[in-house]
Amino acid sequence: MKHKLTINRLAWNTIKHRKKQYTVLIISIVLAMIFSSGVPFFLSCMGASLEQMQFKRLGRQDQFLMNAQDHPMEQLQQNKAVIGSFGYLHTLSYIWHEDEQRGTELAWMDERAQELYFPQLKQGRLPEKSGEIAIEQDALLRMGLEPELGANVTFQVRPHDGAGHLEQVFEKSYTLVGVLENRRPIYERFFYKFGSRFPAAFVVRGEPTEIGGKEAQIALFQLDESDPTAVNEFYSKTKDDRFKLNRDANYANEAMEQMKNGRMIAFLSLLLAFLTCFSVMNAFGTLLKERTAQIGMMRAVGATRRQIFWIFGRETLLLALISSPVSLGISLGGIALYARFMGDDFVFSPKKEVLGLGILFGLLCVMAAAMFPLLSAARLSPMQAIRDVSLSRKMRRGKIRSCKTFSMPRLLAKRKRIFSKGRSILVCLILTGTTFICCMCAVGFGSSLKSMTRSAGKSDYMIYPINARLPENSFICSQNESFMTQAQRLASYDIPFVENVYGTKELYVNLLMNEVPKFLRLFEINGFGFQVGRYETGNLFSPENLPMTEEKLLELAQAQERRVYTETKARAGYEQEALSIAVRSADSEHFNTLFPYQVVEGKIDLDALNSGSEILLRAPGKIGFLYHMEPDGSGLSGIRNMDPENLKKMPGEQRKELDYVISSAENPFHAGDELTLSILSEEADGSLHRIDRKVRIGAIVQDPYWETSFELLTTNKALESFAQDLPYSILYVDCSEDFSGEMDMEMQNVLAAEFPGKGIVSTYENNRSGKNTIRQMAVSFSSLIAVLFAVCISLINNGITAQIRQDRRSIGTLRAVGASQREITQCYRLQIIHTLLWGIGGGIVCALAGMRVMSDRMYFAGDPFWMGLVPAFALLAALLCICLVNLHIQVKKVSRQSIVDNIREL
Amino acid sequence: MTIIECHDLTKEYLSGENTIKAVDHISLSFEQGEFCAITGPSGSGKSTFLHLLSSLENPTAGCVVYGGKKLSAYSDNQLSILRRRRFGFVFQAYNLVQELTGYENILLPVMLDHKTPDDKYLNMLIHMLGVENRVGHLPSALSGGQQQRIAIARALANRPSILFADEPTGNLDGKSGREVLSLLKYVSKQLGVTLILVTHDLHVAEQAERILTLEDGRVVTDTKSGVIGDEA
Repeated sequence: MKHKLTINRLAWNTIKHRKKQYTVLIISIVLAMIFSSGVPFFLSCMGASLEQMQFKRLGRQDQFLMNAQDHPMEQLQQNKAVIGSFGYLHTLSYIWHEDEQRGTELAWMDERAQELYFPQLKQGRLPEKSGEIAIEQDALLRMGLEPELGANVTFQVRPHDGAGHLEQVFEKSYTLVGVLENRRPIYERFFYKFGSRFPAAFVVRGEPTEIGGKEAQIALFQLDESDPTAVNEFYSKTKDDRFKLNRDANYANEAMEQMKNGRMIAFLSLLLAFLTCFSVMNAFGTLLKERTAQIGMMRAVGATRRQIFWIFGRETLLLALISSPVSLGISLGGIALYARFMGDDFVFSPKKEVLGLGILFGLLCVMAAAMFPLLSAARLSPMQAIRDVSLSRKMRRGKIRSCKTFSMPRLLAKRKRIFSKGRSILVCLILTGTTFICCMCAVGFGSSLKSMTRSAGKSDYMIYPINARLPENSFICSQNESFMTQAQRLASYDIPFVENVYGTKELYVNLLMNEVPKFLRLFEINGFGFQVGRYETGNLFSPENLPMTEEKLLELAQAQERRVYTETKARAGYEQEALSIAVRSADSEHFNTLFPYQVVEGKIDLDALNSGSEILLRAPGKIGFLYHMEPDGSGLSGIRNMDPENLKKMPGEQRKELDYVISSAENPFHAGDELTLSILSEEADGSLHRIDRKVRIGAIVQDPYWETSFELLTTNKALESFAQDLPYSILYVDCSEDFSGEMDMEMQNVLAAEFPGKGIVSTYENNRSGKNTIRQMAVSFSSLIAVLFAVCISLINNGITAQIRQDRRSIGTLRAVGASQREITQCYRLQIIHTLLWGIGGGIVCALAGMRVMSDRMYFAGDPFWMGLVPAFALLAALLCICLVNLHIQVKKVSRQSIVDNIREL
Repeated sequence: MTIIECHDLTKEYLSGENTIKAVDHISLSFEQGEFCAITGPSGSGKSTFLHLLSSLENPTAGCVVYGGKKLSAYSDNQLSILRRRRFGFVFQAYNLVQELTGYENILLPVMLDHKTPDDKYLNMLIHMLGVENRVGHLPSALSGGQQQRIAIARALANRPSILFADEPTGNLDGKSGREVLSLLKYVSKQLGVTLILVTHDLHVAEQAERILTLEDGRVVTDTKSGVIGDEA
C-alpha cells in the first residue's frame, strides 16, 4: 500500500468520488460561510466608516482648549498622563475680503496639530511657502471669492493681540493654493460659543504674526480618561475654555443613528448566517441519510461512534476549508460593494485579524451546523443504519392506512410530508421567520420613509419671525408687524438660485357660539396651546383650588374674570359667546405640502376653500385634560389626544399620563357643520368694524403626530377676503436645481440680509442628509430583503435538489411502473406549494400580529401595513417560480438518465 | 405469435477510454405466453439485454419492436403509458416505493393509468401470492420474500402482456426463491403473460420453456427445453 489510510485521506477520497452528491452541501457551506464571515467584516466596515466619518467631519482630536497660550499644555499635564497627544493651531489674525463681518480667523497648524485636525482638501494642496493660503469652501463663499486655485487675493488683515484683535488693519495678498472641506461651520453648529474663533484659513507652518500682534493658540489634544481624578484636576485648570467633541450630544446622536443601522445589519447578517446553517444542517443530514447503509456497515466492521463522527466531521471541515477562499471572496466583495453603494463616507479595508476572525467564525458556524446531523448519524446502531426502520416507526406513529384509490402525486406528496415532518416544519419555520423579517423590515422602512419624506423635502429654507408677539386683544384683528410682507417675498426672487418663495398666513377670528362646548372650553383652559394668559386673574391651579376635579375646573374657568373679552364683546355687540381661533392659510398650489394632514371626515375641496364657502377644521377626535401635581411641586397639566386611534399609537410613557386625565370631551364639530366667524377691526375713530361670515366645515383633518391643535385652515385667497394684504407668518424658499451645498452658508447670509430680524432655518442640509439617509436605508433594506430571498431560495432549492437526489431510486421505480415525468414533477410541486403556503402564510400571520402589537405600542407614519405584505407576496411568487423551475430542471435531469441508472445503487 | 422482438440490439458503455459492448448485435423474438429465461455468467449482458427489451434503457444501436412498432418511435410519455399498461417489472432489489404501503404499491400502475381498480382481480392476485395479511404495511416492515411478492403483484396489477423479471430470486434464500419462482410461473401461466426472466441460476433457468445463454453480450445458445416447470 502506497499511502497510510488516515481519516483525512478517507474523507478526501470520499469527497473526490462523490462530487455530485456534495454539490448541494458545498453550496450550503459557501452560503453559510459568506454570511457568517460577513458579520465580523460588516462590523469592521461600520466601525472603520464611523471612525473615518468622525475624523473627516471633526478631526482626530478629542478636545480643544481655547486660549492655550494662557494654559500651556505642558504645564497642565504636570507629570500626569492625562493628555495623550497634542498640537496647536496658531491664530495670527482676522482676515476679510470686502465685508469685515464676513471674514475668518487665519492660522497655521504645527505638525502634530495637522495630524489631529485632519484637514480635508477639496481642491489643491495645503500651503507650503509664505504667501500661500488654503481656505475652507464656506469661508471663501462668505467672503465672495471664487474657489479658483492660483488666484492672487488681497485681504484686509487685523492682527491678533493674544486676547482680541488690534485696531490696526493692513492689506496683504495671498495665493490661493487649496480649498478645504468645511470644518468651522460644523464647529459653529455644535459649539456656537467658540465657532467664530475657529480659523477657516490656513497659511504655511511657522508664519510669524504681523508687527504688534500676538498669536492666540488653540490646543488640540487626545485625552486619556483612565484616571478620572487626574482628568478632573485637569478640567479645573482649563476652566471653561474647552470643549469635548466626542461628548457632543448632536454628534453622538448622529453616530448613534449610524451605529443603530450598523448593529441592525450585523444582527441580520448573523440571522442570515443562522438560516444558512440550517441549510448546511439540511444538506448534511440528507447526505448522511443517503449514506446510512455505509454508516451501518462501518459500525458493523467496528467503527466507534467517535470515529464515525470524526470521519464525516472531517469531510465537512475539509469542505469548509476548501470553500473558504470563495466564501471569503464573495463576502469581502459583497461588503465592499455595500460600502461603495452607501457613499464616500463608507470605507472597508479589513485588517488581517478581521480576515482571520471571519474565517474562524465561518468555520465555527459550519461545524456547529453539521454537529446535529453528525451526532444523529453517530448514534445509529449498525442494524438501524443498514436496515432503515425509521419509516416503519413513523408509519406506526402516523397511523397510516392503505388507500383504495388515490392520485399518485397527491398521495406520495402527502406521505413524504408525513415521513419528513421534522424537516418540513423546519423549512416552514425558516420561511415563516424570513417572511416575518421581510414584512417587518418593509413596515419599518415604509414608516421611516414616510416620516422622512414628511419632514424632509418641503423647502430649502424657512424664514420665520423672531419674537412674534401675540396681539394684546386677540379678539380684534390687527396686522402683525413681525411677519414678512408680500413685497419682501417678491423681492427675494431677485436672490440668485431662488426659484420659489411661498408661505403661510395667519389671522385670528372669533368663533361665535350660543354656548361654548366642553371640548373648546378645555382647549381654552389650556390656552389653545399658545394663548397662555387668556384668563386674566388668578391661577386655576393655585393650592386652594386643589385637588382639582372636572366640575371644579369647569366652574373655575367659567367664573374667571375676563375683562378684555367682556369689554370687546360689548363693543362688538356680540350676543353669542365668542372664542378667538387662529385661521392659517396657504397658497392652493402648496396647500397639501404645507398642511400635510390626514382627512378624517369630509373631503378637501380647494375650489370651495378659495370661494370662502368652506373651511377645514384641524382638531383631534377626543381630548383629555390632565392635571397632576407631585408633593415636591413638580407636575403636569395640559391636553392629550384621546382619539381611540391615537391611543393605540401612544407610547407607554405617555399612556401612563392618561391616568391623570380629569376631564375629557369629544369633538362636537363635524364636516358639513356651519360655523359663524366674525372679524373685528379697529377703525381710526376707535370704533369696531365687524364682518360676520358663515362657512361650512368642508373636512376635519388631523396631524398624524398626536394631534392636539384646534385651528381653522384655508387658502390664502380665501383669507384675503377676510382681511386684505395680510403678511406671511412663515415663508418657504425653494432653490433651483443648480444650487449646491457649498453655497448653503452664503445663502443663509443673503436671506438674513434680505429679511432683517427674521429667523432663517436651513433645511437644505437636513433635506440632503435626509435624502442620503433614505438612500442608505433603501440600499440596506433592499439588499437585506434580497439576501433573505436568496437565502430562502437557495435553502429550498438545495432541499429540493437534495431530496430528488435522495429519491432517485424511487423516481426510477415510479418511471419503471409507468409514471410520467409530469406526474413525478407534480408530486414534488405539491410538496413545495404546501411548504411555501404554510411557511409564508405563517409568516404573514405573524407579521400581521407583529404589526398589530407594534401599532399598539408605537407610532407609524401613515398606514404602511400594506407595504409589509408586499415582500411576503413577492417572496411567495419568487420562491414559487424559482423552485418550480429548479424542480422541473432537477426532475428532467433525473429523467434524462435511464431508469436503470436511477434504480442502480449509487 | 411474436409479441416482442429485437433487431441488431447493441448497447455500449464507456469505461474510461474503453468501450464495452454489454449487448452485441442481438436479434431475437419472443412469443406470446412464452416463459424465457436469460442466463449467462456475470457481466455477460443479460440484465442489460432485459433492460433494453423493456425500454428501461435505450440501445446504442438496433431496435426493439413491440406490437409492430419500434420502441424508439415512442415518446417518453407514450413509453410511460406502455410500461404501465403492457409491461410488468420485477427487480432483484424489489424496488417498492417506500412511502406507500404494499397494497398501494400494487395499485400504483392502475392508479397511474387513472383506472378503477378491479378489486376481484387484485384480491385474487394478492391471494395467489399469499400476502393478504401484509399488504397494509410499508415495505420496510416486510421481509425480502414478502416484498418480492408485492413487487410481482404490482407487476401484474394492470394485466400486462409481458413480465420482465431481473434476478427475482437473487436476494432471497433458497426456499423463498423457489416459492417466488413458482408463483411467477403460475401467475403468468394463469394470466397468459409472457415471462422473460434473467437469472444466473441454472436451476431456475431450467424451469423455463426457452433458455437464452449470453456471453460477452452475444447469444451463444437459444434452446427450447420443452420442459414445463411444476405448477405451484
